[in-house]
Amino acid sequence: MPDHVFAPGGQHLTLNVTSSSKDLYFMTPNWSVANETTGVFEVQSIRVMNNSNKRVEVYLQFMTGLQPSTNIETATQGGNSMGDMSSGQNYSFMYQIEAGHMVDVSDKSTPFYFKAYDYNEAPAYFPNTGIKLLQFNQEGGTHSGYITMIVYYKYYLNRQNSTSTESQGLFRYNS
Amino acid sequence: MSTNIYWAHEVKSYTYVVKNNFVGSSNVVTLLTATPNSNRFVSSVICLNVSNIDAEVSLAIGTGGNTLALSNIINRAMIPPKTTAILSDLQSPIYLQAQNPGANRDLVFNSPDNAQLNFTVTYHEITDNSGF
Repeated sequence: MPDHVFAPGGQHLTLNVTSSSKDLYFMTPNWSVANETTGVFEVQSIRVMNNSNKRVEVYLQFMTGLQPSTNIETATQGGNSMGDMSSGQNYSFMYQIEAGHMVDVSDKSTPFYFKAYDYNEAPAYFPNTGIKLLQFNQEGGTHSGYITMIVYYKYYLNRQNSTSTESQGLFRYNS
Repeated sequence: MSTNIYWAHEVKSYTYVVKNNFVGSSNVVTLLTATPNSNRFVSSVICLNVSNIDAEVSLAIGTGGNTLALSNIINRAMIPPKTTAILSDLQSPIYLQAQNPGANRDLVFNSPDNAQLNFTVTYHEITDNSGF
């Protein structure tokens, strides 16, 4: 019996823009207890649609929960809540998107992995891994309409409810 | 061939961002290291130039030290301001294989421009009991 199962999924996240800048989040929920993980999201594609009336600049920032503590010069992500993503300039992508246009941020050629992880104590578990989208109005004036981020993923559920801080259970089978 | 060799029983993966500024014309920054018992399958290397100037970025496989060897460069890109470049993806993955015994292999980058670069690297850690 494998110790994980996987299921496909998707989220269409819509931001109603009424001011100069706003953000939205793709959060990777966890069905576990604090400081444990129940699985990993393999993000298959990310797209951003600008359905507002202005050209926007869009920043995307990742909080994967899978950062190693070794073999890396400078690990800049981390922290204990999604709110920490608002600090610094730890972005992975930047785009200028004309009104009515869409960008393909990533596809299956560049998958990303996010550990479903809750840092806070029960009962208020709060997902602290995911993708933050930050948009800025580049033309000034009244900004209205919608920014949509479309994320498709495969979710690997870890039946063993690992307490590892790494992606334990991903692609691994009991034998 | 030994019958005791097994490998890739467990695959780990990470995604993270590295932020680094100007590293000079010949110095490199290590993104990832493969050790003799733990190799790395790199599925993507994404570089965002956060700055307002162009940045020339070289991706290389190093054998230790912090000096860029021209013969070790595997990709080079001139990245415009506030632009993301995909230096490697699943269509052209990188396998970091350390030599046994004892010689690590590093995935490194160099940028002679005074630009801030954010790297997002996704890889699988492949460990075996033989050291390949």
